[in-house]
Amino acid sequence: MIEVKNLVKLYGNNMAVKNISFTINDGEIVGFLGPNGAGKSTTMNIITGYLSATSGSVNVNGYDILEQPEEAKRHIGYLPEQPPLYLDMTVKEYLNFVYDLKKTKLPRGPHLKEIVQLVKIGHVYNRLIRNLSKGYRQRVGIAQALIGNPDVLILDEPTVGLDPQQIIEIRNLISQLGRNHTVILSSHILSEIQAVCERVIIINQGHQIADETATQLSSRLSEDHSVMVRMIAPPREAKAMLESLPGVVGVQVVGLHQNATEFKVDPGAGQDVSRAIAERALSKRWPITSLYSQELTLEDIYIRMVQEDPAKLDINAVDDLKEELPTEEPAAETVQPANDADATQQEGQE
Amino acid sequence: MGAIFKREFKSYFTSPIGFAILVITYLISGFFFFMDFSNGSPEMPNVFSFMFIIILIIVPILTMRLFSEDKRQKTDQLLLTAPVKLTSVVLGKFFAAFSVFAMATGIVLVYQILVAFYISPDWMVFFGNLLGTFLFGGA
Repeated sequence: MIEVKNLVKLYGNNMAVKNISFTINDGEIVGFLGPNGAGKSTTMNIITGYLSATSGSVNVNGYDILEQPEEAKRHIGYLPEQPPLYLDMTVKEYLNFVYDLKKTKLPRGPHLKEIVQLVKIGHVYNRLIRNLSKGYRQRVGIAQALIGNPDVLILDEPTVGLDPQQIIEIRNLISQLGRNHTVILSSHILSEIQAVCERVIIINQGHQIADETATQLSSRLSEDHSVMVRMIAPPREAKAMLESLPGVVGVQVVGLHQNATEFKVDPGAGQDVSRAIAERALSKRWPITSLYSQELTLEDIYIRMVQEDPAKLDINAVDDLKEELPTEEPAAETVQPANDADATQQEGQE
Repeated sequence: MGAIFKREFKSYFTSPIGFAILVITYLISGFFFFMDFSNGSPEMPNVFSFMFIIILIIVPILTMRLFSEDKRQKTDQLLLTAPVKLTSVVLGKFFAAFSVFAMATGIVLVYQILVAFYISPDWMVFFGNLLGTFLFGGA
């Protein structure tokens, strides 16, 4: 379990991390999202003990990272942005070195073999790391994080540099690991985070602007629940039928695919019209070839959220960090309704 | 610490630097030894004064890479996020460099054995070791 409280990191006058707090329980898979330079890697470096925070505390499984660094670090497996590889060693030497460095108690042979199989670096085991391609180096980096079977895995952009097949493999690996380990994953590939992580923490310019499950985020920002339906039906009648359904605010014809007409149906707030559409179409014997609810993807949510002024969205906004904000904005626990108004304005642009 | 020591020590020999230093030291000090030996002086003054200079040169060569390489390749991130005390890291590296250094200066011991007729080697080896540690500490 990781507890981060009021983390602040100053680089001279530049506040890279502004009061970030969160708690991650055992077994969770959490995604760290944010633009480049937002402070994700800095936060991860602070959690793993590479950097020290200007103020705030980090607790890993009950051990404070500054008071009891050795115990805390024993529970962490870290893959930084640039895998810390010794180029002049072979993969075998390197993994053995990390095994010794972490003072692992597990049986050396079987444990290393298991990891090598998991990450699929068996056939380059005796090659110098200098001679490996980026993808393989990345895999060796992941392997080193796994040595010692730490409770917590912190992976900074683990799939960068991998080819699509490898990305899928690693993603499956992470999901698999997530069953027995706590995982913090940072990535720019939103679909990956959406696929693997239960919970998402969004960081922008050092501020933490969201911390909830992907579905919660999606439904909160998703005023636009339009339903896309393709039916084989006479267009005018179908449009009229759809408009007559309770809860429907608007219907647009958006395309013609073979014989089916595609409609975009806007329901009023909070109305679920999919079922009504299906039932009515069935009763009129109009085959539906496609029916889906267009919820905002994580991409859309992310882009909307990072375009806002992060100070306004900060869920840990604290009085003395608010010097840039106008005084009528109260400290926010969650995204304020005012921002939803901004979001609806941006809707028209999509 | 043991792991770090092993690794750094090996790395001195996977790159040419370890061998280069040893070879150069042995060659040149051997030359001076020959000079001293032919003069018949048991204290080997030339060898030792040369040793002094050589030490001044090779110690920085051995040690300057130790931390800067790690910083450059970001492998210091590995060392600092591992469950190992910083002291252990520093000591491991120190001993690796010192071992190579000891191998280089240890040639003096060999010479001394060859001259074993007159003076027992103890105080000279002691002097060499002390000097090495002193200079390393300075470095």
